[in-house]
Amino acid sequence: MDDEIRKRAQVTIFIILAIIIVVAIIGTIFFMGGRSVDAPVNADPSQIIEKCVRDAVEKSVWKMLANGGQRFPSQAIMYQGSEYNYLCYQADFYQGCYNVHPMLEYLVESEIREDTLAGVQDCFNSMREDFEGRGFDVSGGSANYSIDLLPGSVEINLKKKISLVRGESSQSFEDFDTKILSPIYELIKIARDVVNSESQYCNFEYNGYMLLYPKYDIERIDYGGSKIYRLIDRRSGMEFRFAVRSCAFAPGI
Amino acid sequence: MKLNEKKVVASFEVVIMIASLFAFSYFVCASEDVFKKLKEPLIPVVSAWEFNTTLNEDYILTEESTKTVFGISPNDLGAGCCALAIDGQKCATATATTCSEEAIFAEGALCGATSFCRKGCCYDEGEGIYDKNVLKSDCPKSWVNDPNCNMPSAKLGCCVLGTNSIFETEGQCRVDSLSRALGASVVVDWNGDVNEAQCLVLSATQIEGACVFIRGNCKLETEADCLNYGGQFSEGYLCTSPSLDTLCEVTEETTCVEGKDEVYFVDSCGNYANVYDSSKLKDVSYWDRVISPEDSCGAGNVNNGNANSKSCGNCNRFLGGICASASEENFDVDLGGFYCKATSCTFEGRTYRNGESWCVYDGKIGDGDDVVGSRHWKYVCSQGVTRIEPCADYRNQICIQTNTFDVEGKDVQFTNAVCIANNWRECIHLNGEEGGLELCEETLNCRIENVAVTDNFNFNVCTPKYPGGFSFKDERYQKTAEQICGMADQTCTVVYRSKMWGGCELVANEGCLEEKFAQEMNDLCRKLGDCGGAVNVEGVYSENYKVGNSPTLSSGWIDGLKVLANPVKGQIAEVEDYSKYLEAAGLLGSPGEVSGEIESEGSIMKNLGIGIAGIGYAVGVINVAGFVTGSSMLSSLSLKGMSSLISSAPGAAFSGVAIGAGIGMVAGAMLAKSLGLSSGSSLLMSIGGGLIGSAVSIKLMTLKSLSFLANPFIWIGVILIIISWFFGKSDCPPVDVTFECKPWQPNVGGDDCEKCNDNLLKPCSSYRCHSLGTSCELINIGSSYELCVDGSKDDTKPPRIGPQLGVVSSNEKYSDVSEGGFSITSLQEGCIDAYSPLVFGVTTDEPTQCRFDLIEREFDDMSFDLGGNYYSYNHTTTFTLPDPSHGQSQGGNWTGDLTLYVKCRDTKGHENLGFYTVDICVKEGSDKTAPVIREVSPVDGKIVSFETTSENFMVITNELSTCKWDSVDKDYSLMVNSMVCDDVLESPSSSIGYVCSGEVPIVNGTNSYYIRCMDQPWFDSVEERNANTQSYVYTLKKPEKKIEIDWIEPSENFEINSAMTTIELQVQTSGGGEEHFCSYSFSGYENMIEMFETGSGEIHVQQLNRPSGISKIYVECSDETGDSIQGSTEFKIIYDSSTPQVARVWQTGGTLYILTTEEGECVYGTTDCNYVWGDGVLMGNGKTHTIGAAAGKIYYVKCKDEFGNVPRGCSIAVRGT
Repeated sequence: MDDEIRKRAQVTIFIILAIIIVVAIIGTIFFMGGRSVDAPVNADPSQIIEKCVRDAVEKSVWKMLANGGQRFPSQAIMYQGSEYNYLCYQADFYQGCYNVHPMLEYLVESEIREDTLAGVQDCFNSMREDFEGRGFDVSGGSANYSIDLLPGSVEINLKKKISLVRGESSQSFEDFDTKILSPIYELIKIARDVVNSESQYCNFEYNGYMLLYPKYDIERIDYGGSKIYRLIDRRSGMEFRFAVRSCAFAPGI
Repeated sequence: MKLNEKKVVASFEVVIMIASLFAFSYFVCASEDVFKKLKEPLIPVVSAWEFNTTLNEDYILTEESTKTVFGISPNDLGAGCCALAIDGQKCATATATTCSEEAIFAEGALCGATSFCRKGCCYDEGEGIYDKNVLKSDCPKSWVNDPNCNMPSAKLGCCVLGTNSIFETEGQCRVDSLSRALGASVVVDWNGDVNEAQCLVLSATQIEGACVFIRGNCKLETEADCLNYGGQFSEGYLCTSPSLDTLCEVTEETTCVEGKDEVYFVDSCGNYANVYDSSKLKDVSYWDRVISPEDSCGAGNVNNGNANSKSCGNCNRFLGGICASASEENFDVDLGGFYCKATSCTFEGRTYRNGESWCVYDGKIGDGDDVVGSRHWKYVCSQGVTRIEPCADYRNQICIQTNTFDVEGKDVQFTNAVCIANNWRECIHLNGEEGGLELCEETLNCRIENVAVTDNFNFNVCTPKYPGGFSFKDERYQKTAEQICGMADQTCTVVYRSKMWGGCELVANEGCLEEKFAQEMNDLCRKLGDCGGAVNVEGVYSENYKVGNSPTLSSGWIDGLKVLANPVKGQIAEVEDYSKYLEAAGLLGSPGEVSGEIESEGSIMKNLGIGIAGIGYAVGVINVAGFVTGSSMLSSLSLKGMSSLISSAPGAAFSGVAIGAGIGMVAGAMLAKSLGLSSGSSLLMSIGGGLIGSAVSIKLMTLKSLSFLANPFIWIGVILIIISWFFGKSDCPPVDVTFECKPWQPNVGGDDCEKCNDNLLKPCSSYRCHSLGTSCELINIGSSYELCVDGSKDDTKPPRIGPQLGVVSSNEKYSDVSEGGFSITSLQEGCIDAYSPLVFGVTTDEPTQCRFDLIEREFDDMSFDLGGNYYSYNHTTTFTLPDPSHGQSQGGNWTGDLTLYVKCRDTKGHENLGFYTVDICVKEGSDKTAPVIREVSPVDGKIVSFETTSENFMVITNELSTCKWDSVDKDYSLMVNSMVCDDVLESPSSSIGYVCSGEVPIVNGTNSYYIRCMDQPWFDSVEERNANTQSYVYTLKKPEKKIEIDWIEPSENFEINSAMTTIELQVQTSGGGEEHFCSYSFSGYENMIEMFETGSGEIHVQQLNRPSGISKIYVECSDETGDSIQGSTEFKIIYDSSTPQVARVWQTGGTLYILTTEEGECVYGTTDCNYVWGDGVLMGNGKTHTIGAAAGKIYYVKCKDEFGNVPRGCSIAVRGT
């Protein structure tokens, strides 16, 4: 009798312990609320998105540098197999050129944005696929995306609400701002000096400029009545290419 | 003597005297040609350039130099300014068809003169961005009608950002400062009172020190930045200083620092320390405090700035070294990864320092000797690398070089080269300007070329020092090249006269028969541009001239030309005085910068024709001088002859004998003339005649029965007459020695093409490539593999020729077309009319050069070019065929049937097999057609100068004629004013036809004249000739008053808010002709520059960028008559940079009042003074400004005057009460 009582008491204790453990687990889960406890450790989408966007923007910046600030040069001259976009152009002979791309920074910012818009969307898409593959429900709002050229860098402003949900747990992200290092801001400023001088004086004294600012290498070639300019940041090796047709001469009278 | 006998004798004497009157009259008449010759120039006027000019001018006026890539010039019919062309070009000269449908098109307007293509300043004040020369439609931000952005906020200054500085606008400085903002407050350190170089120094003088944070972190910063970071600043200390006890430690690493030349040690925190010196690595004191480079290793090394030093990183880019990665340059350095990379360059054995630049040439330069295909080169030493900058091709730019720089009064050795515009077009243009030759040597890049072959054939021409090049492949430029080269087309007339006893002797211009003629003329020819016999960059000679009746250039002379392709060691283009041009262009003080506006090409183009005439004028003057000399010589000779004739008359006391002798002399002279005897023979025959005449008189007078034959006078006279027969007169016509200067063409073939690819230091270009051979072509243009190759390598076929269908005169057609040629007939398939312009052409199946002749000849010997002296598919020519009967009437063997033998040669030198023939027949028979007046010069309706009281004019007829004019319309025979018509058959002095000239009186208003001509002047009977039955009505107009300048603006002083301002110079003219042209200058009336908007209206406008201060502008306006008027304006531009001052501040209730010293606009902010004007809250305009103020709140107020002057900080900060 006593043994039976002892056995029942033991079972009761085990059951109570089991209930306590289960309640503790449920309670723990309950108290952790929406936290993505089920999310993998390396599942932070911010890093993935930011890296992906940085890569896209970096590629685009290179394109802008090579194309004189545009995705597709609007008016260009071919030289040594590359298209050099005209930043200043005058069709007639002997006349100073028109600055055809004023406020070049804004143009480049907008071009980079346009150029990378699809890429940025792809970043989110691939992230979505990645997380969905891991069992998450991924939802997102509309994106607010812009580019700012700043001294020494390109700032990427990207806002988009992303929610990751798995089971009862979910997690939200919104700020994907990031930046890349690039001398494009400075190179565009030099391009402005070149264009302002070429349009006013039909010349830019690049030789003296290089002496004052040795971190830049400026190359100018007179080719087919146009001037080909290459502005090179010596440290990064990045170069901004463009062309100018100002005060062109006729091959005769 | 009996009385009756005396009566008979007396009567006979009277008869003889009367007869002698007629005899001597005849003598004088027969001598008319001698007198006539006295009036003629000994050397006929060299060329008919006056008429060529007319033709050329018409052509050239339609080929305005501002031709666009469409190949359209503003002067082309229907051309104008197009806002957006179909190929996307903005504000280009185009036609309505090449302009986008939706775009604005202003026909006949230059883009610069249209409102929609006006350039302005596009700016964003907040960002401090100012873009010059922007179309309003292109500007996404604010736009103001000032292409040069002369605004106070556009001023550049020094923006200090920590240890760096940037020369930029204040707005940009604000953006840059914000972007590196570290703390809550942003310090905008901008100074507008320093220049760019001083700004760099400013950054270098920033004092740095260790900025220590809690936990021992440390950064090397300026004090201001350190405070922003919240650190503890220790001025002059390094973060590795033992006294600071930081976490930063000494390392062996080195780095380059932005804005500095030197290599620096780096500490373990990433801060740069002192200049790298491998010997100081373990020197604790070297890591304690900041040591300046002047006190560091190798500071005294002025030779190379420690370039390539393994141990010392004290680089100096001006002396020869700059910090660079050792690994990238494969340099072995003692410590770290950086070193002083050598920045100097070596070129042809000479060392150039970093930043130095120098000129390189393809051959001899200057004095018009630049070779065809050459260009000038600028080489630059850029941090150890020699960079090549080709100056503009076709020698449109020249490279000039200076070897010293003036630095604070001291000459510093520094070679600096600049590619600068070549002013060669102006030199050509000057030849057409009155007094142009005098201006030539004062004009930039121009020189006088003296052609001195003989005393009479000696003249000056203004030529470029560096002749421009011409495109060989573009027909448009080859045509104008023909015009330019054609300036050296000259004829030197070598004059002979017959000797007394037969034979000819030279009278004038003997030197033109020697090689010197070709040498001198070819020198002139090749110095005008790519013309004549000249060599290319490879020293290969090509002959592009023709000499008639004189030797061509010898091989020795040609060898001398080949030497020109070798650069002359040490030769550099002369640095001339550019200040006048720079000042006129508003650029003084900007060395190396030249405005395209100084290349006022439009005016050059308009006057090219006149330029050609100018040389004609110059040579004409020379020939007038020649005429004077020659005529006086001839005159004295003739008088001498006359006197000898007279003195040789036998003196006789008996007047009847004398009269008889006189009649005999006249008879002898007449006979001698009719027999064409020499002057000596004529003298003998006259004497003989005189002796016989005297013998006859004696016989008649004495009436004696003395045998007539017994008189010895008879026999002597007969003997003299017989002797005179042996000395017949020699025909000594003048010889025209001609020089034809053609555009330069390379030799046929393409063997030398590849030579263009060989020299990496002188990259090939189209111009250079094409100069090496007719079949050379630049391929892969725009790619990395541009190559000059023989483009017709596989061409082994001769060209095939056919008629140029559609190109034939309206009254003719091509008939009997076959493989070998065709005929040109009238539309009725008959012969064509004489003296009507015949236009025809041939086409070839590949680019060729075509020539023709009237007999079968080798290509090189053919007399006429069919088309131009260039390679083309189409070859057109125009000429006039004379009436065969006219030649026949003059004893010539003229026929109505002729065949033109045509040969064409391709770029490989292949010629068509045999001859391609063009058969033509001209209507024969007596001429029943009156002459046609083809052209009148000056043109009908021309406005003449207000000062003019008479005007010379010329009439050009299709056939040799005589012309008259009258003020009323009447029959030719009744017209009273005969014109001078000196042309002879077959030698018209104009390419259009035969010339007659005259002079008409001019009165105010419209003057009308009636002109008629009559052909075939060789007929004595007017019945055989044909006269115009209708007059050519010719009008010339004289203005009611001379051109005047009504006003010039600006004329009064005015204030501006920046150091420079764009002013609009406006000039109003009135009176004079219909077209007014104004020009301006800042230095006097010698260096005038044509105003931009001039020529069409009476208000002339020119935008000018002027500095503050007194400006005096000289203005000269002229009209098409040549009348001109001068004026000037003087005004002061006052630079007002002051901002409105706050005079008083008070508060009434809740309103704060601010009173300013001058009218203006005020705004306020509530945080600090670092806000942009646009972000401020407006307080109103005028002098009194108000704020609804809250107690205790501070208002940061800025006030701006009417010129836009705003204080950098605040005008005042006020706290509300």
